[in-house]
Amino acid sequence: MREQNLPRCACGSGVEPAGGTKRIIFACAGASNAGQVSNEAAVQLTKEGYGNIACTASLAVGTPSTRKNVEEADEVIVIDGCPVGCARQIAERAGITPDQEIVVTDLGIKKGGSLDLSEEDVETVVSAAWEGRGRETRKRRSEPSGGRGCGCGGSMETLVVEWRHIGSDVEETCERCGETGRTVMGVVEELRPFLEEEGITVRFVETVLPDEAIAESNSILFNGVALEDLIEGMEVTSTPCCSCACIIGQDDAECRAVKYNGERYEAIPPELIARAALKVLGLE
Amino acid sequence: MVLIEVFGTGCVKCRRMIKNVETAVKDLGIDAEVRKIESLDEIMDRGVMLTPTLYVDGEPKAVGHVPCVEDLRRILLGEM
Repeated sequence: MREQNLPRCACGSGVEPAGGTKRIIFACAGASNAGQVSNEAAVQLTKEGYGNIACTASLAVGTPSTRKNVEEADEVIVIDGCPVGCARQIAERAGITPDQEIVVTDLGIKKGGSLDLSEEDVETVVSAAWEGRGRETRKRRSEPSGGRGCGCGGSMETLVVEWRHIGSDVEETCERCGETGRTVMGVVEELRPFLEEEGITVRFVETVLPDEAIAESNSILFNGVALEDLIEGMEVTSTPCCSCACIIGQDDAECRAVKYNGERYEAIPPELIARAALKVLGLE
Repeated sequence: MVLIEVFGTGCVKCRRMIKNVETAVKDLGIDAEVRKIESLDEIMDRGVMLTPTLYVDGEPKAVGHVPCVEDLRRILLGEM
């Protein structure tokens, strides 16, 4: 009978068709929209038969079954939410060179604190994987710097400076956050040519926080390490901020500031930003 | 003109196959007709038993899996 010979669909049929590339996918699954988009994209890519999502945390702790799955794969794909590249770094520390590195924010998706994911953003990342766009990132990273680097083709060092704030952008955030943001951007541009001469790629990331995360607004991270953790003797404090109160729609609010060497800074001065950048790179 | 046939009943893999084929055709700028064959009767009549399946000019090129865009470009250029 014709019904007995119906074609089967490869979706969830348990059929392992020959000819497909066997891929393993590690997503950073970070605590931001971009991080969660990376995870959702990995799930979607698994459903579409691109590869199989694997546990990045398991790779970090060296679980033997994850190592075995990596060894059996034809390609390793990492999807990171932002240029800090936690999934890539975990893979590299496990001795794995990914074939593709996809960074969600490189695809025009802005990193923020909201966990409401858009289908359009997920599709952008999924399409990028199918189109092999993560190979370009990998290629860029492994190209010799042309500067004073060793030129061996190994991983180029990266400095990622992340400025975190409430409000939609540098013009719409509070006064001190805006001043800090402009200063961070200025310092990054000043440092860039010198660091690139040393073979260090410099990237600036702006993270928009939800209003309820106001306590983290006006903060700066250098390769994921907070400014106050890099400058010895610096303490985080907070002071009343009228423009923050306006943004979050309350009568009063406090915004982050730092204390250093007996001074209190509401907007972070450029010399402290530059010092933290050099410190995280071991150049101070 | 290249005739590209995608056999599938509209599942997630079939939809991706169509998207990837359209991307590859656009990238290469080739003259191609892309046909989606979703009718079970037609799929069976053509002897396709596992979907999604891709035929190029009547020849099966991928059965039961979705080629990535890079592989589809090679398939359409006759390199695979």
